[in-house]
Amino acid sequence: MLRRLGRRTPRALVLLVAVVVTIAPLLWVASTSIKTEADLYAYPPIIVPAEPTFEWYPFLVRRGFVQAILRSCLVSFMATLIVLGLSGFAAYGFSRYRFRGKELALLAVLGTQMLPGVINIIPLYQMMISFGLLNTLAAVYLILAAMNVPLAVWMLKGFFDSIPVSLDESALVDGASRLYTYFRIIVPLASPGLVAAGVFTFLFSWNEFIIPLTMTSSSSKRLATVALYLFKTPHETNWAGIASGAMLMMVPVILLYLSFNRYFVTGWRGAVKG
Amino acid sequence: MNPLARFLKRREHLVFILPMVLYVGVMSVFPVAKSFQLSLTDKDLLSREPGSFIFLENYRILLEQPVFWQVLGNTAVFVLGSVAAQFLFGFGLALLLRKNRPTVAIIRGILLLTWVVPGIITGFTWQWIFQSERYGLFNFLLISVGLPPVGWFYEPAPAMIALLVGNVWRGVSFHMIVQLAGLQTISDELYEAAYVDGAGRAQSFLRITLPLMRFSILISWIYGSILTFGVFDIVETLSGGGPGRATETLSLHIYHTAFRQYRMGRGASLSVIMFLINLGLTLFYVSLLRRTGDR
Repeated sequence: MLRRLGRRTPRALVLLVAVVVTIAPLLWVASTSIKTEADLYAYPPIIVPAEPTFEWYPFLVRRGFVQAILRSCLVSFMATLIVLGLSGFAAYGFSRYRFRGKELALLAVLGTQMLPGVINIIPLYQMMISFGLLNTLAAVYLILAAMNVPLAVWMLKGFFDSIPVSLDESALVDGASRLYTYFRIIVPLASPGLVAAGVFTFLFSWNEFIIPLTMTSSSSKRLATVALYLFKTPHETNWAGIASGAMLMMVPVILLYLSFNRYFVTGWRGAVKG
Repeated sequence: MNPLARFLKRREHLVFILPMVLYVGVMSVFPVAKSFQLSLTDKDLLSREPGSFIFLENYRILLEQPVFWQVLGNTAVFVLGSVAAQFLFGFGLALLLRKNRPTVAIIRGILLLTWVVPGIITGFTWQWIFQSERYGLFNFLLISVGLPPVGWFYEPAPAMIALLVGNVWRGVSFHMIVQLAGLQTISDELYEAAYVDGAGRAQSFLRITLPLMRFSILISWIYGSILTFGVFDIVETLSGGGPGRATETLSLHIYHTAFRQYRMGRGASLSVIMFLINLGLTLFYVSLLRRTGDR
Protein backbone atom coordinates (compact mmCIF):
# COMPACT_ATOMS: atom_id res chain seq x y z
CA MET A 1 0.00 0.00 0.00
CA LEU A 2 2.70 2.44 1.06
CA ARG A 3 4.88 1.45 -1.86
CA ARG A 4 2.02 2.01 -4.21
CA LEU A 5 1.39 5.47 -2.76
CA GLY A 6 5.10 6.19 -3.01
CA ARG A 7 5.06 5.36 -6.68
CA ARG A 8 1.94 7.34 -7.39
CA THR A 9 2.76 10.55 -5.54
CA PRO A 10 5.55 11.81 -7.83
CA ARG A 11 3.29 11.23 -10.81
CA ALA A 12 0.43 13.17 -9.24
CA LEU A 13 2.85 15.93 -8.22
CA VAL A 14 4.29 16.27 -11.74
CA LEU A 15 0.80 16.41 -13.21
CA LEU A 16 -0.27 19.00 -10.63
CA VAL A 17 2.72 21.18 -11.53
CA ALA A 18 1.90 20.80 -15.22
CA VAL A 19 -1.71 21.84 -14.65
CA VAL A 20 -0.66 24.83 -12.53
CA VAL A 21 1.93 25.97 -15.07
CA THR A 22 -0.73 25.69 -17.78
CA ILE A 23 -3.43 27.60 -15.96
CA ALA A 24 -1.48 30.16 -13.88
CA PRO A 25 -0.53 32.45 -16.80
CA LEU A 26 -4.16 32.48 -17.97
CA LEU A 27 -5.37 33.34 -14.47
CA TRP A 28 -2.74 36.08 -14.32
CA VAL A 29 -4.26 37.55 -17.48
CA ALA A 30 -7.71 37.34 -15.91
CA SER A 31 -6.44 39.08 -12.79
CA THR A 32 -4.65 41.79 -14.82
CA SER A 33 -7.81 42.50 -16.78
CA ILE A 34 -9.66 43.71 -13.68
CA LYS A 35 -6.86 45.80 -12.15
CA THR A 36 -6.73 49.56 -11.82
CA GLU A 37 -3.69 51.40 -13.16
CA ALA A 38 -2.19 51.57 -9.64
CA ASP A 39 -2.75 47.86 -8.96
CA LEU A 40 -0.99 46.93 -12.19
CA TYR A 41 2.40 48.14 -11.05
CA ALA A 42 2.07 47.44 -7.32
CA TYR A 43 4.81 45.63 -5.44
CA PRO A 44 4.42 42.93 -4.31
CA PRO A 45 2.21 42.05 -7.30
CA ILE A 46 -1.48 41.81 -6.46
CA ILE A 47 -2.82 38.38 -7.37
CA VAL A 48 -6.50 38.99 -6.62
CA PRO A 49 -7.40 42.69 -6.82
CA ALA A 50 -9.23 43.84 -3.67
CA GLU A 51 -11.30 46.26 -5.70
CA PRO A 52 -11.76 44.81 -9.16
CA THR A 53 -12.48 47.32 -11.89
CA PHE A 54 -14.29 46.77 -15.11
CA GLU A 55 -13.29 50.14 -16.57
CA TRP A 56 -11.24 48.45 -19.30
CA TYR A 57 -14.23 46.92 -21.02
CA PRO A 58 -15.85 50.29 -21.85
CA PHE A 59 -12.37 51.34 -23.00
CA LEU A 60 -12.32 48.37 -25.41
CA VAL A 61 -15.76 49.31 -26.72
CA ARG A 62 -14.59 52.88 -27.34
CA ARG A 63 -11.52 51.59 -29.19
CA GLY A 64 -13.71 49.55 -31.56
CA PHE A 65 -12.63 46.20 -30.17
CA VAL A 66 -16.14 44.78 -30.29
CA GLN A 67 -16.35 45.44 -34.03
CA ALA A 68 -12.93 43.81 -34.41
CA ILE A 69 -14.20 40.71 -32.61
CA LEU A 70 -17.27 40.59 -34.88
CA ARG A 71 -15.04 40.91 -37.95
CA SER A 72 -12.88 38.06 -36.64
CA CYS A 73 -16.04 35.96 -36.25
CA LEU A 74 -17.09 36.71 -39.81
CA VAL A 75 -13.64 35.97 -41.26
CA SER A 76 -13.25 32.72 -39.31
CA PHE A 77 -16.75 31.65 -40.31
CA MET A 78 -16.14 32.33 -44.01
CA ALA A 79 -12.80 30.51 -43.91
CA THR A 80 -14.50 27.55 -42.25
CA LEU A 81 -17.25 27.42 -44.89
CA ILE A 82 -14.73 27.43 -47.74
CA VAL A 83 -12.54 24.83 -46.06
CA LEU A 84 -15.43 22.45 -45.38
CA GLY A 85 -16.77 22.82 -48.90
CA LEU A 86 -13.47 22.22 -50.66
CA SER A 87 -11.93 19.64 -48.38
CA GLY A 88 -15.13 17.64 -47.86
CA PHE A 89 -15.39 17.15 -51.63
CA ALA A 90 -11.70 16.42 -52.00
CA ALA A 91 -11.63 13.99 -49.10
CA TYR A 92 -14.58 12.14 -50.62
CA GLY A 93 -12.71 11.89 -53.93
CA PHE A 94 -9.62 10.59 -52.21
CA SER A 95 -11.58 8.18 -50.08
CA ARG A 96 -13.85 6.67 -52.75
CA TYR A 97 -11.90 6.61 -56.01
CA ARG A 98 -8.76 4.81 -57.03
CA PHE A 99 -6.69 6.65 -59.58
CA ARG A 100 -3.14 7.11 -60.69
CA GLY A 101 -1.09 9.59 -58.68
CA LYS A 102 -3.50 9.51 -55.74
CA GLU A 103 -0.82 8.93 -53.15
CA LEU A 104 1.35 11.61 -54.66
CA ALA A 105 -1.55 14.07 -54.66
CA LEU A 106 -2.26 13.35 -51.01
CA LEU A 107 1.37 13.89 -50.09
CA ALA A 108 1.44 17.12 -52.08
CA VAL A 109 -1.56 18.34 -50.11
CA LEU A 110 0.25 17.43 -46.93
CA GLY A 111 3.29 19.27 -48.27
CA THR A 112 1.43 22.58 -48.52
CA GLN A 113 0.48 22.11 -44.88
CA MET A 114 4.19 22.52 -44.17
CA LEU A 115 4.20 26.08 -45.52
CA PRO A 116 4.01 28.46 -42.59
CA GLY A 117 1.85 31.55 -43.11
CA VAL A 118 4.79 33.92 -43.02
CA ILE A 119 6.51 32.31 -46.01
CA ASN A 120 3.88 33.49 -48.51
CA ILE A 121 2.97 36.93 -47.15
CA ILE A 122 5.06 38.80 -49.74
CA PRO A 123 3.72 37.13 -52.92
CA LEU A 124 0.18 37.03 -51.47
CA TYR A 125 0.38 40.75 -50.79
CA GLN A 126 1.30 41.36 -54.43
CA MET A 127 -1.42 38.96 -55.60
CA MET A 128 -4.06 40.67 -53.49
CA ILE A 129 -3.08 44.00 -55.05
CA SER A 130 -3.65 42.49 -58.51
CA PHE A 131 -6.97 40.95 -57.46
CA GLY A 132 -8.02 44.32 -56.03
CA LEU A 133 -8.54 42.62 -52.68
CA LEU A 134 -5.80 44.24 -50.61
CA ASN A 135 -7.17 45.67 -47.38
CA THR A 136 -10.39 43.62 -47.51
CA LEU A 137 -11.67 40.91 -45.19
CA ALA A 138 -12.06 38.67 -48.23
CA ALA A 139 -8.28 38.67 -48.73
CA VAL A 140 -7.87 37.41 -45.17
CA TYR A 141 -10.41 34.60 -45.28
CA LEU A 142 -9.44 33.43 -48.76
CA ILE A 143 -5.84 33.00 -47.59
CA LEU A 144 -6.79 31.47 -44.24
CA ALA A 145 -9.00 28.94 -46.02
CA ALA A 146 -6.10 27.84 -48.24
CA MET A 147 -3.88 27.43 -45.19
CA ASN A 148 -6.42 25.22 -43.41
CA VAL A 149 -7.56 23.03 -46.31
CA PRO A 150 -4.72 20.44 -46.13
CA LEU A 151 -5.25 19.43 -42.51
CA ALA A 152 -9.01 19.25 -43.10
CA VAL A 153 -8.56 17.01 -46.17
CA TRP A 154 -6.47 14.58 -44.15
CA MET A 155 -8.82 14.61 -41.19
CA LEU A 156 -11.94 14.14 -43.31
CA LYS A 157 -10.41 11.42 -45.44
CA GLY A 158 -9.82 9.48 -42.23
CA PHE A 159 -13.47 9.89 -41.24
CA PHE A 160 -14.81 9.03 -44.72
CA ASP A 161 -12.62 5.93 -44.92
CA SER A 162 -14.34 4.61 -41.80
CA ILE A 163 -17.77 4.78 -43.51
CA PRO A 164 -18.47 1.49 -45.37
CA VAL A 165 -18.34 1.88 -49.16
CA SER A 166 -21.31 -0.50 -49.41
CA LEU A 167 -23.53 2.39 -48.28
CA ASP A 168 -22.49 4.50 -51.28
CA GLU A 169 -22.82 1.52 -53.58
CA SER A 170 -26.34 0.64 -52.56
CA ALA A 171 -27.38 4.27 -53.09
CA LEU A 172 -25.67 4.32 -56.49
CA VAL A 173 -27.37 1.07 -57.50
CA ASP A 174 -30.69 2.66 -56.57
CA GLY A 175 -29.90 5.33 -59.14
CA ALA A 176 -28.68 8.11 -56.86
CA SER A 177 -26.01 10.41 -58.26
CA ARG A 178 -22.59 10.72 -56.67
CA LEU A 179 -23.44 14.22 -55.44
CA TYR A 180 -26.68 13.00 -53.89
CA THR A 181 -24.78 10.17 -52.22
CA TYR A 182 -22.21 12.60 -50.87
CA PHE A 183 -24.69 15.06 -49.42
CA ARG A 184 -27.35 12.63 -48.26
CA ILE A 185 -25.26 9.71 -46.97
CA ILE A 186 -21.67 10.67 -46.37
CA VAL A 187 -22.11 14.16 -44.94
CA PRO A 188 -24.66 13.15 -42.27
CA LEU A 189 -22.61 10.10 -41.25
CA ALA A 190 -19.34 12.02 -41.14
CA SER A 191 -20.80 15.03 -39.36
CA PRO A 192 -18.55 14.57 -36.30
CA GLY A 193 -15.56 14.76 -38.63
CA LEU A 194 -16.91 17.83 -40.38
CA VAL A 195 -17.55 19.47 -37.03
CA ALA A 196 -14.01 18.66 -35.87
CA ALA A 197 -12.44 20.01 -39.06
CA GLY A 198 -14.68 23.07 -38.83
CA VAL A 199 -13.75 23.78 -35.23
CA PHE A 200 -10.05 23.43 -36.04
CA THR A 201 -10.33 25.84 -38.95
CA PHE A 202 -12.36 28.31 -36.94
CA LEU A 203 -9.85 28.31 -34.07
CA PHE A 204 -6.79 28.61 -36.29
CA SER A 205 -8.41 31.44 -38.24
CA TRP A 206 -9.48 33.19 -35.07
CA ASN A 207 -5.92 33.03 -33.71
CA GLU A 208 -4.22 34.03 -36.96
CA PHE A 209 -2.13 37.16 -36.76
CA ILE A 210 0.40 37.65 -39.57
CA ILE A 211 -2.16 37.38 -42.41
CA PRO A 212 -4.58 40.05 -41.14
CA LEU A 213 -1.59 42.16 -40.05
CA THR A 214 -0.15 42.27 -43.56
CA MET A 215 -3.29 42.07 -45.72
CA THR A 216 -5.36 44.78 -44.01
CA SER A 217 -4.38 48.25 -42.91
CA SER A 218 -7.42 50.45 -42.23
CA SER A 219 -9.11 50.40 -38.84
CA SER A 220 -12.43 49.53 -40.47
CA LYS A 221 -10.93 46.16 -41.54
CA ARG A 222 -9.06 45.43 -38.32
CA LEU A 223 -9.39 41.96 -36.82
CA ALA A 224 -9.24 41.20 -33.10
CA THR A 225 -5.64 39.91 -33.03
CA VAL A 226 -4.36 43.01 -34.81
CA ALA A 227 -6.47 45.33 -32.66
CA LEU A 228 -5.02 43.73 -29.55
CA TYR A 229 -1.50 44.01 -30.93
CA LEU A 230 -1.97 47.72 -31.51
CA PHE A 231 -2.68 48.36 -27.82
CA LYS A 232 1.09 48.13 -27.49
CA THR A 233 2.85 51.15 -28.94
CA PRO A 234 6.54 52.05 -28.77
CA HIS A 235 5.67 54.61 -26.09
CA GLU A 236 3.41 52.68 -23.80
CA THR A 237 1.78 49.34 -23.31
CA ASN A 238 -1.72 49.25 -21.94
CA TRP A 239 -1.43 45.96 -20.09
CA ALA A 240 -4.87 46.02 -18.52
CA GLY A 241 -6.42 46.91 -21.88
CA ILE A 242 -4.54 44.06 -23.56
CA ALA A 243 -5.55 41.66 -20.78
CA SER A 244 -9.23 42.61 -21.03
CA GLY A 245 -9.14 42.28 -24.80
CA ALA A 246 -7.38 38.94 -24.37
CA MET A 247 -10.19 37.79 -22.09
CA LEU A 248 -12.81 38.73 -24.67
CA MET A 249 -10.84 36.85 -27.33
CA MET A 250 -10.00 33.81 -25.23
CA VAL A 251 -13.30 33.09 -23.53
CA PRO A 252 -15.19 32.13 -26.72
CA VAL A 253 -12.20 30.09 -27.88
CA ILE A 254 -11.94 28.21 -24.60
CA LEU A 255 -15.70 27.56 -24.52
CA LEU A 256 -15.61 26.28 -28.08
CA TYR A 257 -12.59 24.17 -27.24
CA LEU A 258 -14.16 22.69 -24.11
CA SER A 259 -17.33 21.72 -25.98
CA PHE A 260 -15.33 19.97 -28.70
CA ASN A 261 -12.41 18.81 -26.58
CA ARG A 262 -12.80 15.15 -27.45
CA TYR A 263 -12.37 15.84 -31.17
CA PHE A 264 -9.00 17.43 -30.66
CA VAL A 265 -7.12 14.31 -29.74
CA THR A 266 -8.80 12.17 -32.40
CA GLY A 267 -8.48 14.92 -35.01
CA TRP A 268 -4.77 15.33 -34.52
CA ARG A 269 -4.34 11.61 -34.35
CA GLY A 270 -6.03 11.17 -37.72
CA ALA A 271 -3.95 13.92 -39.28
CA VAL A 272 -0.67 12.78 -37.77
CA LYS A 273 -1.12 9.17 -38.69
CA GLY A 274 -2.59 9.98 -42.10
CA MET B 1 -23.67 9.83 -74.12
CA ASN B 2 -21.79 12.90 -75.33
CA PRO B 3 -17.99 12.98 -75.16
CA LEU B 4 -17.88 15.43 -72.28
CA ALA B 5 -20.15 13.31 -70.14
CA ARG B 6 -18.10 10.24 -70.99
CA PHE B 7 -14.90 12.01 -70.07
CA LEU B 8 -16.42 13.13 -66.79
CA LYS B 9 -17.63 9.61 -66.08
CA ARG B 10 -14.10 8.27 -66.44
CA ARG B 11 -12.52 11.15 -64.55
CA GLU B 12 -15.27 11.52 -61.99
CA HIS B 13 -12.82 11.82 -59.11
CA LEU B 14 -11.56 15.06 -60.65
CA VAL B 15 -14.95 16.69 -60.06
CA PHE B 16 -14.40 16.18 -56.37
CA ILE B 17 -10.69 16.82 -56.12
CA LEU B 18 -10.03 19.52 -58.69
CA PRO B 19 -11.64 22.48 -56.87
CA MET B 20 -9.43 21.90 -53.84
CA VAL B 21 -6.32 21.34 -55.95
CA LEU B 22 -6.91 24.52 -57.97
CA TYR B 23 -7.61 26.56 -54.86
CA VAL B 24 -4.55 25.38 -52.97
CA GLY B 25 -2.52 25.71 -56.15
CA VAL B 26 -3.43 29.35 -56.61
CA MET B 27 -3.29 30.37 -52.95
CA SER B 28 -0.39 28.29 -51.60
CA VAL B 29 1.73 26.82 -54.36
CA PHE B 30 1.73 29.62 -56.91
CA PRO B 31 2.87 32.14 -54.25
CA VAL B 32 5.97 30.03 -53.65
CA ALA B 33 6.89 30.33 -57.34
CA LYS B 34 6.07 34.03 -57.17
CA SER B 35 8.48 34.36 -54.23
CA PHE B 36 11.25 32.87 -56.36
CA GLN B 37 10.50 35.40 -59.09
CA LEU B 38 10.26 38.37 -56.69
CA SER B 39 13.46 37.33 -54.98
CA LEU B 40 15.35 38.08 -58.22
CA THR B 41 14.06 41.67 -58.31
CA ASP B 42 14.48 44.82 -56.26
CA LYS B 43 10.69 45.18 -55.85
CA ASP B 44 9.80 47.91 -53.39
CA LEU B 45 6.60 47.84 -51.32
CA LEU B 46 5.76 51.50 -51.84
CA SER B 47 6.36 51.78 -55.59
CA ARG B 48 3.95 50.57 -58.25
CA GLU B 49 6.85 49.50 -60.48
CA PRO B 50 7.26 45.72 -60.78
CA GLY B 51 10.91 46.02 -59.72
CA SER B 52 13.85 45.41 -62.01
CA PHE B 53 15.56 42.09 -62.50
CA ILE B 54 18.78 41.94 -60.48
CA PHE B 55 19.35 38.18 -60.61
CA LEU B 56 20.94 36.83 -57.42
CA GLU B 57 21.94 40.22 -56.03
CA ASN B 58 19.54 39.92 -53.05
CA TYR B 59 21.06 36.60 -52.05
CA ARG B 60 24.58 37.96 -52.41
CA ILE B 61 23.77 40.92 -50.16
CA LEU B 62 22.04 38.69 -47.62
CA LEU B 63 24.90 36.24 -47.35
CA GLU B 64 27.32 39.12 -46.88
CA GLN B 65 25.31 40.73 -44.10
CA PRO B 66 26.23 39.68 -40.56
CA VAL B 67 22.58 40.34 -39.63
CA PHE B 68 21.43 37.43 -41.79
CA TRP B 69 23.77 35.01 -40.06
CA GLN B 70 22.78 36.36 -36.68
CA VAL B 71 19.11 35.82 -37.55
CA LEU B 72 19.83 32.28 -38.77
CA GLY B 73 21.68 31.56 -35.54
CA ASN B 74 18.79 32.94 -33.46
CA THR B 75 16.37 30.82 -35.47
CA ALA B 76 18.45 27.69 -34.88
CA VAL B 77 18.54 28.34 -31.13
CA PHE B 78 14.82 29.13 -31.08
CA VAL B 79 13.77 26.09 -33.10
CA LEU B 80 16.10 23.54 -31.52
CA GLY B 81 15.61 24.88 -28.00
CA SER B 82 11.82 24.96 -28.37
CA VAL B 83 11.46 21.55 -29.96
CA ALA B 84 13.88 19.83 -27.58
CA ALA B 85 12.10 21.17 -24.50
CA GLN B 86 8.60 20.71 -25.94
CA PHE B 87 9.43 17.16 -26.93
CA LEU B 88 10.89 16.18 -23.56
CA PHE B 89 7.98 17.65 -21.59
CA GLY B 90 5.43 16.37 -24.10
CA PHE B 91 6.86 12.85 -24.07
CA GLY B 92 7.05 12.80 -20.28
CA LEU B 93 3.46 13.96 -19.93
CA ALA B 94 2.28 11.47 -22.54
CA LEU B 95 3.87 8.64 -20.54
CA LEU B 96 2.09 9.86 -17.42
CA LEU B 97 -1.22 10.30 -19.22
CA ARG B 98 -1.34 7.21 -21.42
CA LYS B 99 -4.04 5.32 -19.50
CA ASN B 100 -7.60 6.25 -20.45
CA ARG B 101 -9.16 7.27 -17.17
CA PRO B 102 -11.63 10.10 -16.53
CA THR B 103 -9.12 12.17 -14.51
CA VAL B 104 -6.49 11.62 -17.20
CA ALA B 105 -8.89 12.88 -19.86
CA ILE B 106 -9.61 16.02 -17.85
CA ILE B 107 -5.90 16.73 -17.31
CA ARG B 108 -5.18 16.20 -21.01
CA GLY B 109 -7.98 18.61 -21.82
CA ILE B 110 -6.52 21.27 -19.52
CA LEU B 111 -2.99 20.85 -20.86
CA LEU B 112 -4.27 21.24 -24.41
CA LEU B 113 -5.59 24.70 -23.55
CA THR B 114 -2.19 26.25 -24.32
CA TRP B 115 -2.57 25.11 -27.91
CA VAL B 116 -5.85 26.98 -28.49
CA VAL B 117 -4.88 30.28 -26.86
CA PRO B 118 -4.13 32.81 -29.63
CA GLY B 119 -0.36 33.14 -30.10
CA ILE B 120 -0.32 36.89 -29.64
CA ILE B 121 -2.01 36.47 -26.25
CA THR B 122 0.59 33.88 -25.28
CA GLY B 123 3.33 36.30 -26.31
CA PHE B 124 1.87 39.28 -24.46
CA THR B 125 1.14 37.18 -21.38
CA TRP B 126 4.71 35.96 -21.04
CA GLN B 127 6.12 39.38 -21.74
CA TRP B 128 3.94 40.67 -18.92
CA ILE B 129 5.09 37.83 -16.64
CA PHE B 130 8.76 38.48 -17.49
CA GLN B 131 8.57 42.26 -17.01
CA SER B 132 12.02 43.46 -16.05
CA GLU B 133 10.87 45.68 -13.21
CA ARG B 134 9.94 44.46 -9.78
CA TYR B 135 6.23 44.24 -10.56
CA GLY B 136 6.99 41.47 -13.05
CA LEU B 137 5.48 38.26 -11.71
CA PHE B 138 8.51 36.10 -12.45
CA ASN B 139 10.95 38.57 -10.93
CA PHE B 140 8.73 38.70 -7.85
CA LEU B 141 9.01 34.90 -7.59
CA LEU B 142 12.80 35.16 -7.91
CA ILE B 143 12.93 37.80 -5.19
CA SER B 144 10.70 35.69 -2.93
CA VAL B 145 13.17 32.80 -3.05
CA GLY B 146 16.10 35.13 -2.41
CA LEU B 147 17.40 35.54 -5.97
CA PRO B 148 18.07 38.88 -7.64
CA PRO B 149 15.54 40.07 -10.25
CA VAL B 150 16.59 39.79 -13.90
CA GLY B 151 16.25 42.46 -16.61
CA TRP B 152 14.71 39.87 -18.92
CA PHE B 153 14.44 41.96 -22.05
CA TYR B 154 17.61 44.05 -21.56
CA GLU B 155 20.09 41.25 -22.28
CA PRO B 156 20.21 38.81 -25.23
CA ALA B 157 20.38 35.52 -23.32
CA PRO B 158 17.58 36.21 -20.81
CA ALA B 159 15.38 37.52 -23.63
CA MET B 160 15.90 34.29 -25.58
CA ILE B 161 15.12 32.28 -22.45
CA ALA B 162 11.89 34.23 -21.91
CA LEU B 163 10.95 33.68 -25.55
CA LEU B 164 11.68 29.96 -25.29
CA VAL B 165 9.61 29.63 -22.12
CA GLY B 166 6.60 31.23 -23.82
CA ASN B 167 6.93 29.15 -26.95
CA VAL B 168 7.56 25.91 -25.07
CA TRP B 169 4.49 26.62 -22.94
CA ARG B 170 2.38 26.72 -26.08
CA GLY B 171 3.95 23.78 -27.91
CA VAL B 172 4.22 21.06 -25.26
CA SER B 173 0.68 19.85 -25.78
CA PHE B 174 1.19 19.30 -29.52
CA HIS B 175 4.07 16.94 -28.77
CA MET B 176 2.07 15.32 -26.00
CA ILE B 177 -0.73 14.50 -28.46
CA VAL B 178 1.67 13.07 -31.04
CA GLN B 179 3.37 10.89 -28.43
CA LEU B 180 0.03 9.78 -26.97
CA ALA B 181 -1.06 8.66 -30.42
CA GLY B 182 2.20 6.71 -30.71
CA LEU B 183 1.93 5.16 -27.25
CA GLN B 184 -1.59 3.95 -27.90
CA THR B 185 -0.39 1.83 -30.81
CA ILE B 186 1.77 -0.28 -28.47
CA SER B 187 -0.20 -3.20 -27.08
CA ASP B 188 -0.17 -3.90 -23.36
CA GLU B 189 0.65 -7.54 -24.05
CA LEU B 190 4.18 -6.60 -25.00
CA TYR B 191 4.75 -5.07 -21.58
CA GLU B 192 3.13 -8.04 -19.86
CA ALA B 193 5.37 -10.45 -21.75
CA ALA B 194 8.42 -8.39 -20.84
CA TYR B 195 7.31 -8.33 -17.20
CA VAL B 196 6.89 -12.08 -17.18
CA ASP B 197 10.38 -12.44 -18.64
CA GLY B 198 11.69 -10.39 -15.74
CA ALA B 199 12.29 -7.05 -17.47
CA GLY B 200 12.28 -3.98 -15.23
CA ARG B 201 10.49 -0.73 -15.99
CA ALA B 202 13.64 0.92 -17.35
CA GLN B 203 14.34 -2.06 -19.54
CA SER B 204 10.87 -2.25 -21.01
CA PHE B 205 10.98 1.50 -21.68
CA LEU B 206 14.30 1.22 -23.53
CA ARG B 207 13.54 -2.03 -25.34
CA ILE B 208 9.82 -1.69 -26.10
CA THR B 209 8.62 1.89 -25.82
CA LEU B 210 11.48 3.77 -27.47
CA PRO B 211 11.97 1.51 -30.51
CA LEU B 212 8.23 1.33 -31.22
CA MET B 213 7.91 5.08 -30.78
CA ARG B 214 10.61 5.96 -33.27
CA PHE B 215 8.12 7.09 -35.86
CA SER B 216 6.11 9.36 -33.56
CA ILE B 217 9.34 10.75 -32.16
CA LEU B 218 10.50 11.64 -35.65
CA ILE B 219 7.15 13.25 -36.48
CA SER B 220 7.38 15.27 -33.28
CA TRP B 221 10.82 16.57 -34.18
CA ILE B 222 10.29 17.25 -37.86
CA TYR B 223 6.74 18.56 -37.80
CA GLY B 224 7.53 20.41 -34.58
CA SER B 225 10.55 22.10 -36.16
CA ILE B 226 8.56 23.16 -39.20
CA LEU B 227 5.78 24.59 -37.04
CA THR B 228 8.30 26.40 -34.83
CA PHE B 229 10.09 27.79 -37.87
CA GLY B 230 6.94 29.59 -38.90
CA VAL B 231 6.12 31.05 -35.48
CA PHE B 232 5.64 34.76 -35.87
CA ASP B 233 2.97 35.87 -33.39
CA ILE B 234 4.71 34.80 -30.19
CA VAL B 235 8.10 36.19 -31.20
CA GLU B 236 6.64 39.52 -32.29
CA THR B 237 4.62 40.04 -29.12
CA LEU B 238 6.91 38.41 -26.54
CA SER B 239 10.32 39.85 -27.33
CA GLY B 240 9.68 41.69 -30.60
CA GLY B 241 13.07 40.36 -31.74
CA GLY B 242 14.90 42.49 -29.18
CA PRO B 243 17.01 43.61 -27.48
CA GLY B 244 18.57 44.79 -30.73
CA ARG B 245 18.21 41.75 -32.95
CA ALA B 246 19.07 39.22 -30.26
CA THR B 247 15.84 37.23 -30.62
CA GLU B 248 14.93 38.10 -34.20
CA THR B 249 14.07 34.87 -36.01
CA LEU B 250 13.80 34.26 -39.74
CA SER B 251 10.02 34.69 -39.79
CA LEU B 252 10.29 38.05 -38.02
CA HIS B 253 13.12 39.08 -40.30
CA ILE B 254 11.00 38.36 -43.40
CA TYR B 255 8.22 40.58 -42.08
CA HIS B 256 10.57 43.38 -41.01
CA THR B 257 12.48 43.36 -44.29
CA ALA B 258 9.37 43.38 -46.47
CA PHE B 259 6.87 45.42 -44.48
CA ARG B 260 8.97 47.73 -42.29
CA GLN B 261 11.89 48.38 -44.65
CA TYR B 262 9.61 47.93 -47.71
CA ARG B 263 12.16 45.64 -49.43
CA MET B 264 9.80 43.10 -50.99
CA GLY B 265 12.49 41.59 -53.23
CA ARG B 266 14.94 41.06 -50.39
CA GLY B 267 12.18 39.73 -48.16
CA ALA B 268 11.14 37.31 -50.90
CA SER B 269 14.67 35.91 -51.04
CA LEU B 270 14.47 35.30 -47.29
CA SER B 271 11.15 33.49 -47.88
CA VAL B 272 12.83 31.35 -50.53
CA ILE B 273 15.59 30.44 -48.10
CA MET B 274 13.01 29.54 -45.48
CA PHE B 275 11.11 27.52 -48.06
CA LEU B 276 14.22 25.53 -49.02
CA ILE B 277 14.98 24.69 -45.40
CA ASN B 278 11.35 23.66 -44.90
CA LEU B 279 11.36 21.65 -48.10
CA GLY B 280 14.35 19.66 -46.91
CA LEU B 281 12.62 18.89 -43.63
CA THR B 282 9.31 18.07 -45.37
CA LEU B 283 10.85 15.68 -47.87
CA PHE B 284 12.52 13.90 -45.01
CA TYR B 285 9.16 13.70 -43.21
CA VAL B 286 7.29 12.46 -46.28
CA SER B 287 9.89 9.79 -47.01
CA LEU B 288 9.47 8.55 -43.45
CA LEU B 289 5.69 8.52 -43.86
CA ARG B 290 5.98 6.46 -47.01
CA ARG B 291 8.39 4.02 -45.47
CA THR B 292 6.08 3.23 -42.58
CA GLY B 293 3.15 3.11 -45.01
CA ASP B 294 4.84 0.17 -46.74
CA ARG B 295 5.24 -1.73 -43.55
